[in-house]
Amino acid sequence: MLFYDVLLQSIHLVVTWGTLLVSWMAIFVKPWKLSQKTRPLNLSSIYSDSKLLQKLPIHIGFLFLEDDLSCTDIATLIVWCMSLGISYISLYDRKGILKRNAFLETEIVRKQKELLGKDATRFNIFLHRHFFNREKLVVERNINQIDVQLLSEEDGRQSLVHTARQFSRAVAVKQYKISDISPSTIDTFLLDKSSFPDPDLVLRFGAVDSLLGFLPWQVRLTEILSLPTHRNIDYKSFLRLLQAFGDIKQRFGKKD
Amino acid sequence: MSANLTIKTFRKEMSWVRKTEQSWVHRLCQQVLKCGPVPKHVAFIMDGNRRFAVKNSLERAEGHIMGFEKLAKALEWCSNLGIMEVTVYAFSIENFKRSKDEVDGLMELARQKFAKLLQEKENLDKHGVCIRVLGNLNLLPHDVQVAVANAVNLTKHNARAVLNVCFAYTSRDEICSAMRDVAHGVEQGIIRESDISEHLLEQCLYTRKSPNPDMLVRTSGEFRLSDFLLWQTTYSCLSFVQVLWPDFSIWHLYAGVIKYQRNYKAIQEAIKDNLIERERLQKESDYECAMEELRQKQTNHFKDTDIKSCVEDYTKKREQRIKMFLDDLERRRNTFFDDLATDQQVTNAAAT
Repeated sequence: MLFYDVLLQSIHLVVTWGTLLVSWMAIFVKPWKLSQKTRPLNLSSIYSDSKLLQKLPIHIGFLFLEDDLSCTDIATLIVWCMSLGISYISLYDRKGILKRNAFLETEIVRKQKELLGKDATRFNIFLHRHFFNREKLVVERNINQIDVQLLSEEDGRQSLVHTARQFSRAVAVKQYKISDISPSTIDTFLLDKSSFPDPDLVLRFGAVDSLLGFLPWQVRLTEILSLPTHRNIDYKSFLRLLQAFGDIKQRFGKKD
Repeated sequence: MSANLTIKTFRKEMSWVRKTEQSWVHRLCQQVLKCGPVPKHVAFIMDGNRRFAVKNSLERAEGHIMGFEKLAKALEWCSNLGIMEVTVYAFSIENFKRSKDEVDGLMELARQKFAKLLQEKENLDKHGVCIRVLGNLNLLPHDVQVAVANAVNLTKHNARAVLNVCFAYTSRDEICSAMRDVAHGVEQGIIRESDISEHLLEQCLYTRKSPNPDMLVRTSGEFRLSDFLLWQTTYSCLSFVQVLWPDFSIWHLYAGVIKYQRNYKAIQEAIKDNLIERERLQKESDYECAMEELRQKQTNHFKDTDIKSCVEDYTKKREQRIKMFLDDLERRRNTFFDDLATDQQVTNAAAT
């Protein structure tokens, strides 16, 4: 019987990790629709790639579910998004390491100069580290404004707890009736605090098939795609996922 | 033609609970899977019934019937694997926007299924199956509400296996109802604003009697949550499967479990960290509230022992408040179902 147990365990091991390898191979072997030529990346080449996509996300979320975070690669992702025309970006890591990272901003500036050259100065990037006490900008938003929010676990369920407390207080002081609490008023409240629309697309990095606490309220209709790692992320893989996103049609529960 | 014959055969067998013989292949696979942790609670988004109907040139209603068949099979597969709780997304509040014919058809299917449930009491009790219906039931036609209440009351004492059917449900609506409940509690003075925590909100959700799903499976190749259990699945293993729901097979389920096992360590670590954080926040909050109370008593000197006992005292009182609040909530929900069930009895009595 011991042999039988060992046999079962071995089969189990092979199946568990074999299936993962197969799924990763599938990601890298998929046919590449857009240009095969390795041409230099700059603002105009990336911008022309964006024109070939069916649809671009307005707000993209990057979930870093891996242990080691690479500022350089994260900065690269941000610069690509900027150049493609995505103006709301969320960076999430469960423990809030990015929020406390002092080098991210300088790395972003460096990558902008490296990839975009003289076009680097065209964009204004705003980094938001806090969910609730965000500085609201008085100026009107222009197309070259990029908002990046750094998020962690506390901005998920805990922010809904904070919201519940605010609404309870408003009801207790007769500012609100209980019937005024609705999904849309809650949504308005959260939107007012963050100024970010709900993410249309979320890219998970790391071999974890879960959202691990990322903005549960806001991911109601978010497309969830994934890549094995963000380290040494290559442009083609990223663009391929955006292309897959562009091909998706949402039915909103109503009709086919 | 053959599809219609298959459906007629199925109609006879369309019960909620069944036990069929397993092949040795399946038994072997189950033994391999049980070498690792098996999820206790799986949630399903059973997407693709209508597209299945179109693909096989059936009526849409037939697609839904096939979907129900697949659900019954999936429940059996889960039970054999040791997955004793299943939650399914049967009808979203968004689905009310579909054509009147389709919505009426789905309500009729629900009426039939819940009515059949009442006939299967013996079978359900034998297998210890508890059925719960979660959602904003006030949005449903009254007679469907009554059928639901009867089904829930009929099986509520069973505890071996649980099936949660989300009907007239969206996650945001559920979270909103939890926020209303706590706001009501604060307004009535049963709990304080500072008592509101992740744990308390969770206890106000429709799913409060269940642990969070270990795994979420969505069929038909869509990669989103569509307003289903957003709070509860934030640490769940997500399995997006390409096939349409009526084509879902036991192999897809096995593959999902393998995926769950691969992710087990990373996810458990995240869940543990979250629980530690919850505890830390609660302790911090209890301390601050206790200190505030001490200050208000205008005591200038307090010894360490005074502070410690004060905080312990405050914690105990808070827990009592919360217990009272949750017991009251439970009472109101039970009353809702009992009243509906009595409606049926009154109608029956009037008819005789």
